[in-house]
Amino acid sequence: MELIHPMTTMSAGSTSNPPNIHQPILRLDNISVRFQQTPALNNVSFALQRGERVAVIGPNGAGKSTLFNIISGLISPTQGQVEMCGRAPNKQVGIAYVPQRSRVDWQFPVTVNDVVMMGRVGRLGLFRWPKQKDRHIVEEALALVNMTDLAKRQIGELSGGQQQRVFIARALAQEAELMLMDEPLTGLDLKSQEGIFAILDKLRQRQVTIMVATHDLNVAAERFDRLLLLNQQVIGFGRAKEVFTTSMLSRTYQGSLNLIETPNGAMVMSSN
Amino acid sequence: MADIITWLTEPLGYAFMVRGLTAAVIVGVVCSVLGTYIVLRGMAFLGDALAHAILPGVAMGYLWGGGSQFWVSMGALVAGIFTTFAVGTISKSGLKEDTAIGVMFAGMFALGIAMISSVRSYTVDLTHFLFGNVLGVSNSDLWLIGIFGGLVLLTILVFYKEFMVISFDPLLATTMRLPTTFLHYLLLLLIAVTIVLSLQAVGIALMSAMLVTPAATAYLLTRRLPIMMVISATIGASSGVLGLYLSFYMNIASGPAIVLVCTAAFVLVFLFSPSQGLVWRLVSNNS
Repeated sequence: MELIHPMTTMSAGSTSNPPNIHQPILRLDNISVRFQQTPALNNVSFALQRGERVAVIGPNGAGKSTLFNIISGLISPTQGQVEMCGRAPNKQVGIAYVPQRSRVDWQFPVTVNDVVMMGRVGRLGLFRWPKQKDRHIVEEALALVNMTDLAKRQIGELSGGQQQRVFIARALAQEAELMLMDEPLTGLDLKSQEGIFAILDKLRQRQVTIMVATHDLNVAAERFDRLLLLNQQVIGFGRAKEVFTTSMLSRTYQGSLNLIETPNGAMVMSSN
Repeated sequence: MADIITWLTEPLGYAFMVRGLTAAVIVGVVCSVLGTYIVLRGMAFLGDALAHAILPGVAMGYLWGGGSQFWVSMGALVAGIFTTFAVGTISKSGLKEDTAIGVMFAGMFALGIAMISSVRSYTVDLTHFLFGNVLGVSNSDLWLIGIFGGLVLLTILVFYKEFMVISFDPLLATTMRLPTTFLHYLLLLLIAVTIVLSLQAVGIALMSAMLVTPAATAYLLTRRLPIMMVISATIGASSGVLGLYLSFYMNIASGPAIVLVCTAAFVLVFLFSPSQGLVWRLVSNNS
């Protein structure tokens, strides 16, 4: 029983320009955003490979949320281009946004199953009700995050880790190839965090690319393939060894971070 | 026993009561089902404002159609749609939406009152517009209410999953490339149509009670959207019926009677709801 892979559901009609799996799944080219003259992002360029797990790191106000909003199409950049698989993002290319838990109305009268089924609404289109296939995909997604038993619960009755897993399941139901997660670990105990990473490991096997905004530099260094240091512009993008240098971190945090030099490299004391 | 049956059946001997009860049930159901979205999305102020803002349309329709309910409804609908788009346009300037609503609501309502006050023959009917007169519903009015009410419910059914997504998580709607602006305005249009069809039953001033109170009561009783809609509709419809009986026997104006029954249901549930009732919470805190 395999979750239907996004690639297999791509519309067969688009033969003129088929998605190329060797192309970066996501590419930002010289993106700048200004909110009423105030720059939020400045000449941001980078590319992600399929199946990669990337942490986005930067202080509050560094433009992490803006970056996610640009990628998910919520706001348009003032300048520059976003490409997915070499094309402008469209409905067929699944981008899923896993919101910060504090942004969700947990009292809303929906069950776990309802929330995950919402991930199907985009693919279903107007005037169509969920069919057997959609229910099947929802069941698979719930099983993958170990939430099958709680499918009938109202979402406010769940623990923080369970709530986060529901939204990962919803992203799966969207058949997302790229998953954007905003501070998914905030407020979770270590055990719940481990549960989330176990799920993210499973997603890696499915070639789902994951971008996570986080404040936790240690977790970022240990658990992610590459790190994107962001403070309105890209300060550094690479493995922890390459980018966790005193100069890059101090440029990223500009004084809101205490660095201690040790024989093994820079130690970080975040004041966030 | 026979007394109770007489008490129940006597009003049904009057054709105006049967029409009034039918109208009250339809209005109760439509307002309460749509009301679940209004409560969940925090649009209570918009609902109240939109109800007031249709007054100039009501007055124009009344003048144009020589008092016919059809033209009153059409005028109200046009004013409602105009207000909706005006609020949307003003909000784009950077002002918060509730500020835009506040500006439009007062301005339109004042325009309506000004128009009505300038024509003396209006004065009697103004109270009907403000507080409703469900017992004055004619057969043709009933058709109008039924058709519009059916259309509103049908639209809610057809766009059920989309309305759920834009209410729960607008961001998800955007990332899934749903037509969010269209859906938002469709919901506002449904509110405008519902207000127009409820005009005779509860009137402008009490409209927000029908749009908000049954759904708010249902929210205290369940955490499932479809069940919330069913409970809300049941409360709305039964408040309509009970309110009209109270109106019949106690000689209270029909609109306020319906709204008072709704409010009483809310207060009862607020105090005694099994999961969240204030009384149970106080009792369990003290023990």
